[in-house]
Amino acid sequence: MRAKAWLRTAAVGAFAWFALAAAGAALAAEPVKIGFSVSLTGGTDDYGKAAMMGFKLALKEYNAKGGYKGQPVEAVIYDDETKPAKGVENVTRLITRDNVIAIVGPVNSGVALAIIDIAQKQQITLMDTIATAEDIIKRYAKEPKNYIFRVSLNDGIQTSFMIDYIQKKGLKKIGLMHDSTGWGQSGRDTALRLMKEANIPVSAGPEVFDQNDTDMTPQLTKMKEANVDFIIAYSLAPAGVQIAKSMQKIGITVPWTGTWGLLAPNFLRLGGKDLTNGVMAVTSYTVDHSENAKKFHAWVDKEYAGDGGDFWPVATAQTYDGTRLVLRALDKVAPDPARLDDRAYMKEVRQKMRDAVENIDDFTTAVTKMKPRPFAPDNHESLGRDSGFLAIWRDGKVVRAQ
Amino acid sequence: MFVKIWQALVSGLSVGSIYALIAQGYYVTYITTGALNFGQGEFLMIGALFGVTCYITLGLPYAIAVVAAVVLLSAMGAGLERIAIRTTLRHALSLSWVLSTVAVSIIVRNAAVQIWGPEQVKFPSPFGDKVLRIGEAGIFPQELFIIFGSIGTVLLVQFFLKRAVLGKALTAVAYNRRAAAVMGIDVQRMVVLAFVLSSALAGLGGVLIAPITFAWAYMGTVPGIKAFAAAIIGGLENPIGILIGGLAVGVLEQFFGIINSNLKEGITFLFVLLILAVRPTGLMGRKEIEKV
Amino acid sequence: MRLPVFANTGPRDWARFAAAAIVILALPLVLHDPFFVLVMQSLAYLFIVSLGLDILVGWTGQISLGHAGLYAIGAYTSALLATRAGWPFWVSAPLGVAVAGVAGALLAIPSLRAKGPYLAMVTLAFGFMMEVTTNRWQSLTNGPMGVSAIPAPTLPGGEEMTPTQYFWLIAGVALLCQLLANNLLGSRVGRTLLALRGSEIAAQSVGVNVYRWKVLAFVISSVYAGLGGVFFAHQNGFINSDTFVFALSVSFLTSVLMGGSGTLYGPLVGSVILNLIPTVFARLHDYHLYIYGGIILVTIIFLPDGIVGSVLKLPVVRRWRRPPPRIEPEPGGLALSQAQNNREPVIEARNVTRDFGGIRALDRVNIAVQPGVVHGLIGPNGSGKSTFVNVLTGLYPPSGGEILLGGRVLGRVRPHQMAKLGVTRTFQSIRLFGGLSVLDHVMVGFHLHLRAGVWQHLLQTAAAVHEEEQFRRKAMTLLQFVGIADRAHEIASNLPYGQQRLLEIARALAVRPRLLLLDEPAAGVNPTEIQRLVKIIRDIRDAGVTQVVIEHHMELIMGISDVVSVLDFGEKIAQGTTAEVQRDPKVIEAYLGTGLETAHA
Repeated sequence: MRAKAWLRTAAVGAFAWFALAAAGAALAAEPVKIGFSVSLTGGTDDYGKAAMMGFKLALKEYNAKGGYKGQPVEAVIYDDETKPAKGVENVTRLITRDNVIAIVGPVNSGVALAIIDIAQKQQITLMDTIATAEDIIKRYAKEPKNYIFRVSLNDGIQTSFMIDYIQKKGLKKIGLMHDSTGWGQSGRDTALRLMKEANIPVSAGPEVFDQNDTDMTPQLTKMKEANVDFIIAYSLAPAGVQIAKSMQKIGITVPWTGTWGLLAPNFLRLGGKDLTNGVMAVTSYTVDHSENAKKFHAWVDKEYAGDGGDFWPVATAQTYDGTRLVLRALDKVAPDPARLDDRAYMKEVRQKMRDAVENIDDFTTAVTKMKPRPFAPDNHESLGRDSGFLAIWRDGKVVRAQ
Repeated sequence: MFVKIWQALVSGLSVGSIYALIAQGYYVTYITTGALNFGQGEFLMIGALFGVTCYITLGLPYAIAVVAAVVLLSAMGAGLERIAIRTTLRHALSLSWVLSTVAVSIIVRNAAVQIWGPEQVKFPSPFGDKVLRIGEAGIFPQELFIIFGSIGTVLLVQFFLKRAVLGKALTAVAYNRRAAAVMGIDVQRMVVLAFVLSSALAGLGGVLIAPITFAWAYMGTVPGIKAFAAAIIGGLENPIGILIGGLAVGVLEQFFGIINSNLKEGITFLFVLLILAVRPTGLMGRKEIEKV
Repeated sequence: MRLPVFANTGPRDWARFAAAAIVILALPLVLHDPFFVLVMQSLAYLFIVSLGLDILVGWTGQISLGHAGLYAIGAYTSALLATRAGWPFWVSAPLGVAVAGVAGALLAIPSLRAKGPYLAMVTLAFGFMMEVTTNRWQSLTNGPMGVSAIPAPTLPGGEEMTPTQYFWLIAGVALLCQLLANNLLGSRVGRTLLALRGSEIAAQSVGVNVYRWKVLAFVISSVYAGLGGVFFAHQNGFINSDTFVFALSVSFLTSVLMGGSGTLYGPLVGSVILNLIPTVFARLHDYHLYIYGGIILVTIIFLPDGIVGSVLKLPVVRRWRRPPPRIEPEPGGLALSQAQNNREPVIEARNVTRDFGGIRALDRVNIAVQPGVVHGLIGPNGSGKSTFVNVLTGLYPPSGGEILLGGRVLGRVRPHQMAKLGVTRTFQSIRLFGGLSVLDHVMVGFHLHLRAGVWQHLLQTAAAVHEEEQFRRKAMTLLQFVGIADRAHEIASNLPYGQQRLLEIARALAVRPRLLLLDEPAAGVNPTEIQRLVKIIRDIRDAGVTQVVIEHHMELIMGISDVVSVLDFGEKIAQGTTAEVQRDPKVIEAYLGTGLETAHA
């Protein structure tokens, strides 16, 4: 009984200590910082983890070359748990408590749509390197100063490549399916819009599936019954493999395409050569499309050998480029580190950071397919129609689709 | 139309038999302690990932991988009982084991992410990937194996509980704790055994389904919850009810997937609510008469 | 001097709340940082949800693994009305709360009879249903792409509230929520809910409509959850279907347990600490789930009473608490019975049969209980005595035959309705209400006679407070009658066995029954206490209450009964005066070598 009372007292004490520690942690000042808030747990955590590799490598490279005025730039990394509310909390915290000069992230479109409002209102650069929903950039495109930038192919661009292909091949009966995530659903809306514009009817679907679903036969039987000759599927790699397997099961063999998710090496690893053969996807990046990309890919593989190597190359590469753009802007703005505690000065620095990012015109070392001047006042999408192409799996290799 | 329904039935039985297998684990611990492991799905996931390590990384035969996963999970079951069940059964809140097992599941899942990474890992089926045809419906050999393996295991567990000495002791504890103790049965040991058995079933389930679902840290949550729903629908105290409940949930989902794929995920839960509103102990559960 | 509302809130309470109000006002001014304000807003509305959940979990003994669903309903309703219909916050917010309340009432339906894991499943399934619905019903919710640009509330002038002002609003409402919860839980409502938690059957026996009170608890809890959701939506400005997940429900439940379920301030402490943890450990993103899971485990294993519960149990704190006030018994003495001037039997069983599966526990039993008597009911173990009591009190419907009350045939009557008709009971295996005090047990017994309802107690109207005081005196009178008045403020389960039985009698008498059924009142009671029991039973009879007494204690039953019926294998084998029954050969045969001889000796 006594022992129990002790334990109880100890536990209460521990909580009290924790409360004090929390109060203490709130007081301390630090050097130039960049915020990074992505999903490290929850539905899109593999994107987040891949993005974090790119983010960390960019910082490592920068700090190895002397950092900012001899001081290493510090990363402040938070997990948004794939929850919009948590993303809002993180971004607010990065802006007001951690005093960062810019933010890289998030990876989830739902989270992104929640936090861009704060970034815009608080006037801080938000570099989206993964999330593809069109509205992320569009929402503030009409404002005099849009604080949101993207290094990723948005849904509309990705889908337009598919429409091109359909028109070129004269395909008539199109099936549409998508996963139930925000990304999948906004992809569906984009596809429906673009197909309508191009006057292509949807013959089957849109059918929805859960991204963890392991049996897509009910959805695909409907495609089969409608006799489709092409399927657009907004699906990530694992669900993509399940689609291919379920197609085998019910004996339907039509060409089909997805977005960049299906080009992850994981798609091949899970599905194997036979299953992936002929599956198409849109991308801006393959690990060997340029010398820069090849070198970068090898570096990631080496640095993260223990964590599965370059397991999601597009995500890592885009985040690497996006982070470097922010760091380059930092060098251009060249703020006085001693004055960053001053709120008014910080505000000014952040505004200048945005302008600097928008005006970078000498970015020649990109690993993604990016122009030396990635952005412009009227264009915050660094990757456009000329950065992407429709690729196809052939015997375990990604090649350009003809 | 017929082909569509036939395919849904075949696919549904394969998914449903896994639910039935996991749910059987709920049954064993529920009858002995009134508690069950809310992290059963995470245990299943550990079974699958550990199976991958044995089968792929270490290159052991499939059968050995299955045994290894079952052994590991049995140990985890004993640990779970010690940490999350024994400590909470006398808690003021009668359902505090729900939270303690959820807590364990959170920790286990996080550990799995750190050990095996967040990504799906392929677990090649030992029976190959060639689609078999039953009538017009297609099925993978592994799925067929799952159906027979699960139902076979369920029957084996029943046989164990009804015929084996140890199993009978367990059943006796379930029937009447105090009387069993008087008869010289070590009740505490039987409770541990129940959790060991339950976790072993989860581990087995993991190795069975991994070739279909891939092995990864988040694979278990949904099957764990759906299996719980299946057990509740059938009636937690009725092993046959649970078997039927599991298969029914699997088939139900596929059928509603045909009608409208938007309904596929939610239908099980709607079904549970409707059934419990009418029959508070499940379709085939014992009607509870409180002794006064 | 008493206010017309909040009549029971004393100067110390007012001082405490005033202090809380000052802290709320000062906090954002002292910690002038938007991030702190954001975090404090979140803490305030998450606290409201926890407080509501505790009413369900800590007080009513239910569980909810689906509170995120109710939270979602509040959030979506208000957000959609504000964005799509353009309604102001001040209209959309109350509607969000109301819709959540209605959803709670609906959720209560499948929850009413479900217990244990089944109940967990009901709420879990509800939570998942909401998760899937918000994801897939896109024409309404826009799924994972969500509802954006949810406006902050406006001030009367038309401009939007600043974050600090919004914090004041949320925290002010939270304070009010705590105040109202204190009113509710400190009054009849909390007492009745705790009674349900302790024993549904015993609560029914004094006339508590268990279903209705559970629905009430669900509705209150849902209203709080909905309110939290509304505040969340208008804080965040964006909500989508990824927000309202199972893990959120788990965290609500954890915060309640961590603080201490069933305590007034547990939810406050628990929700503040639990929700600060991820904020503090945010940089340890690889480990925060370990920390979180570990905290849940440590809380459950080492702090089963939660932080507040544990603190309250510390000897220092217990000594420091104020002693309860002394309550004088009512001067007028005891009024036990509802008037009865009827000559008919009080209750009559005609050909009553009851089957359990294949077993016939009662076989065409005919027993009429005459008014004003003590009617003994004896029989060997398993002869159907308890079943008979259970049938008479409505707990089990008879399989055949009928029951007449005051000459009228009863249809299917539930136990709480039986209590209303003047029939109540005590229990063979004692059924007390968990942590309630002796006095409160009797107060629950007065359930059918209390007039002040939920609303009056919510606001603590002067009438409600007065009624409580008056009935507390009546309760003391009853406790004095059974001789345990000196223990009025003790936790009932700490009483010795014999006194617990007396307390059950006092609780039953509070119903003011026409017919009182005592199910083995002397079991486990020591000889001196039995003498007291005999006197009490006689006094009750003299006060005009008819009693049916089941007993194995032959001396007792033969000493007090006016009439005795004997059951054996579910059949009535004899009935008559004690002397007649003792001579009856059938009775002697049934008891051969067991009770009767020893009773004679």
